[in-house]
Amino acid sequence: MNPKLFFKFVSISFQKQVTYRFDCFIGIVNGFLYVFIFTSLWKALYSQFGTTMHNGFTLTAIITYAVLVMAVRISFTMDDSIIYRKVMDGSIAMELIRPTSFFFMNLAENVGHSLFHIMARTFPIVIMSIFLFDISIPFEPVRFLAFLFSFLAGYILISMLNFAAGLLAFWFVEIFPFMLFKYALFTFFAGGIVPIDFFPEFLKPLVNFLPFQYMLYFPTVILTGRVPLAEVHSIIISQLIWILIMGVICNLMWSAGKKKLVIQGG
Amino acid sequence: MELIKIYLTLFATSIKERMEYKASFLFYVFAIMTFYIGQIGLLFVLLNRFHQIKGWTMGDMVFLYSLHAFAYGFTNLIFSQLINFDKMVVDGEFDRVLVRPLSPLGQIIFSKFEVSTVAHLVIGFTALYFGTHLAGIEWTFKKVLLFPVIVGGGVLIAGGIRLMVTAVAFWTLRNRSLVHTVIFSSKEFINYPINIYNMGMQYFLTFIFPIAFINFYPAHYFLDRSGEGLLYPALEMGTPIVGIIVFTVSAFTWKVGVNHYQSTGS
Amino acid sequence: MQQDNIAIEVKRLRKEFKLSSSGKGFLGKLKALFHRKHKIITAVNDIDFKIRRGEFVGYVGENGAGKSTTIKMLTGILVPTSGTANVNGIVPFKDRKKNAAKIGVVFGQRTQLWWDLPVRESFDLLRVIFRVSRLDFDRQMTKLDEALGLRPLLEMPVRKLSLGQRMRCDIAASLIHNPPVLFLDEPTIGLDVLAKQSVRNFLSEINRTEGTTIILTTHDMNDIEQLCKRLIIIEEGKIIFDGETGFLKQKFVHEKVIEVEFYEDDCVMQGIPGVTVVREQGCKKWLTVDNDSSGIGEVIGAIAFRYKIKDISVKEPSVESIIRNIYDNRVKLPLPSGKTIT
Repeated sequence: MNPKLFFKFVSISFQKQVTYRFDCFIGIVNGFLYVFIFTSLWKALYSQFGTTMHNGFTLTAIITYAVLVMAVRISFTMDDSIIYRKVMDGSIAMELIRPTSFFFMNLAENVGHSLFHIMARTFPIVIMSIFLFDISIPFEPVRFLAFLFSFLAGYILISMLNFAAGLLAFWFVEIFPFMLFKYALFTFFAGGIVPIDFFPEFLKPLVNFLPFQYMLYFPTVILTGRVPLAEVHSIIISQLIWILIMGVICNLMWSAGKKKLVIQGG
Repeated sequence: MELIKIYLTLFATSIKERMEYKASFLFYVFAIMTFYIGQIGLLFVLLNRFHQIKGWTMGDMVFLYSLHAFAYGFTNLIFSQLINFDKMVVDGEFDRVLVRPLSPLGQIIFSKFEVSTVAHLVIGFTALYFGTHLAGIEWTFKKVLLFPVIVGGGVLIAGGIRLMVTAVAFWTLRNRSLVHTVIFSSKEFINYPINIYNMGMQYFLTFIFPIAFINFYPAHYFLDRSGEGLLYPALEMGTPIVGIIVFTVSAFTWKVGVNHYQSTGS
Repeated sequence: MQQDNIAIEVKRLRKEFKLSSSGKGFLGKLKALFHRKHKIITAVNDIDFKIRRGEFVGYVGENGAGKSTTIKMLTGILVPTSGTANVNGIVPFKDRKKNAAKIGVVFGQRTQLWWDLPVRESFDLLRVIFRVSRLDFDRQMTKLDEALGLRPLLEMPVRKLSLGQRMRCDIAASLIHNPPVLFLDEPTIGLDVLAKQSVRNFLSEINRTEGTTIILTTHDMNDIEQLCKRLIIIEEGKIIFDGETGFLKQKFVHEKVIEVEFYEDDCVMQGIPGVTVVREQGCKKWLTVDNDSSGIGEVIGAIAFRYKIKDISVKEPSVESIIRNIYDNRVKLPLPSGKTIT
């Protein structure tokens, strides 16, 4: 897809978000609410013990994780019902005659959406948290660059997951249950609330088998400094492999969906 | 009497309407259960490592969770249509409600059947069973009698809050993000005993946004706990009274909202 | 005139809306909270009218002229700023539920039927809501079915109906409790010609056989011409015409339009008395003929005498064009506004 066109779509989608300023304010409150709850939870848990280190996390480290994982998660905000609506109202047929890739157009729309949430919600929440909580983020430019790579890879992975889930609308009248199911798995396995280090041993194989940890957990721990720089490249390679796998799945689903659309007219 | 019959017929119709999508009904229930099992799973992961949260063991926490699930299950059953209420106002659907010889609130409440209740009740009963065993709750006659009263009070609190925040739509029209934050995100607060939060937040959740009465305070009574709650034991049995107050205030707000709508037409 | 002969009576009915001028977005609204810069808009400006039982009245006006606001006040959705209204002897905004039980309302743009359920379910439910006995319901359904051909639609889910089918069901739904007054807001909007005609036929029939008082708002002047004996035109909140539709036509048709197509494009009309050329396009000309001067026949004769005519037709101005003229202030109204013809 032509990058100029891509950014055009990004910008349109971004501007659509700006119109709801009140929503944006509430969005900050909403995000901060979660940060507050989980930092309080960790403080309460850690205060019960004399030891200061649990599963490799000091209190400061776990608070930092709780804030940043929420920040990354908010940055990943996208509208996962776009494809569903397009299938339902039939406008998906337009995508067949467009010369642009549907996936990339969808991605552009998501990026615009997310950029807005990063600026309007992630930054204020992180800044507020820096003043309110005991946080330490290592200041290493190389690490930050590695984080950006990993963050982007995670972003593409989530985008693909949402794309695939949205395409289910070709076969099901209602996809909200799938979205909820996806959300449930994501919340648990991506480490959005409790970092994977705390998971009991018997869950680890399952966690490693699923792609969710590469979406949220790994980008976050690269930023917090929990992962040594030497290991970063192997994480990013794993992410790229998952992008490849998800790409194949998305492609297969989109082709099958297109076929269904052409044969049955939606 | 005739009025009850009318509302029951309205409700029966909304169930029929929901049953048009049987397959998604089952999957929906399944997806919600996955979500809650994930939440309890994370609780388990944490307590596996830390054994308790501010004096609340797994059994206590599971019982806390069951009160929560019951209250929200019944609230969803009764007040689910309120979540989309802003859309009704924006689309002019509310005009339709006003040209029928029934109370607007009655029509809205009974016009949607929310299946998530089924999932909530399953979770609620399961959590109640395990909570009883793990925490060793002794079910005296008085406790058995008071349990539904407490759940009822919780429904009044949660439903009242829902009613109040949806009534805002009469003035602001769109209030989706506000509804989402106040109804859904805020639930996260009482997944944990509220004594993990700072004093300010404990007061907030007790006197201003009194969701702590849904599970935290009454749980003290059922678990025979004493002590750490704010103003123990005066608030232990406060749930029904708080419920009635909250619901009265919101019903009044709703009434003012309807009047406002009828004079401005939005 | 007998009082119980009146279905709707409106007296100095007025509705003002406050419009906060800077109220854009949350911050704007917040600012407006302190500034209180309100603009008062009078949507309905002290209107009066009476509608007798059994009348079929067209209520027209441009968007924003105040017609929906009037309908909303008469159906109990809105409370007026001042003035009174009386529908079936009930003040709608004081006794909303009682009024609702005695009126039928159709909003053309949204359905009152349950989207995912078979039509029959909606009817059954409305029967219960409007407290109609089984016996009355069956009798009414038989009648509605005969007139609207509902039977084949009853088992279909509403979402699968065509727009025309859905409108038929919607109208039937609003008549389940056999209300003496029926409000129709744009009932033919979006329908194709055939569907429009079947809706019109039905409306005129229930008006005739049941004596149902019908108030119809529409943008389609064919609805008015075919259905409404009486027409009320509202403009900027004021009633600018209230009288017989036929009267409007007769009174304002000063001239007829002749559309002529010649074989050549250099035909000159000068010298024919009472004729003005209003438009020219190639070989086509549009001419108007004064009513009081020579007759149409003479004019056509005179033209045919001079030139060879390829095609000719005489057009009566439609109600639509008359109303358009009224909106555009091209026609002066002889009637004082608000006067009822009874």
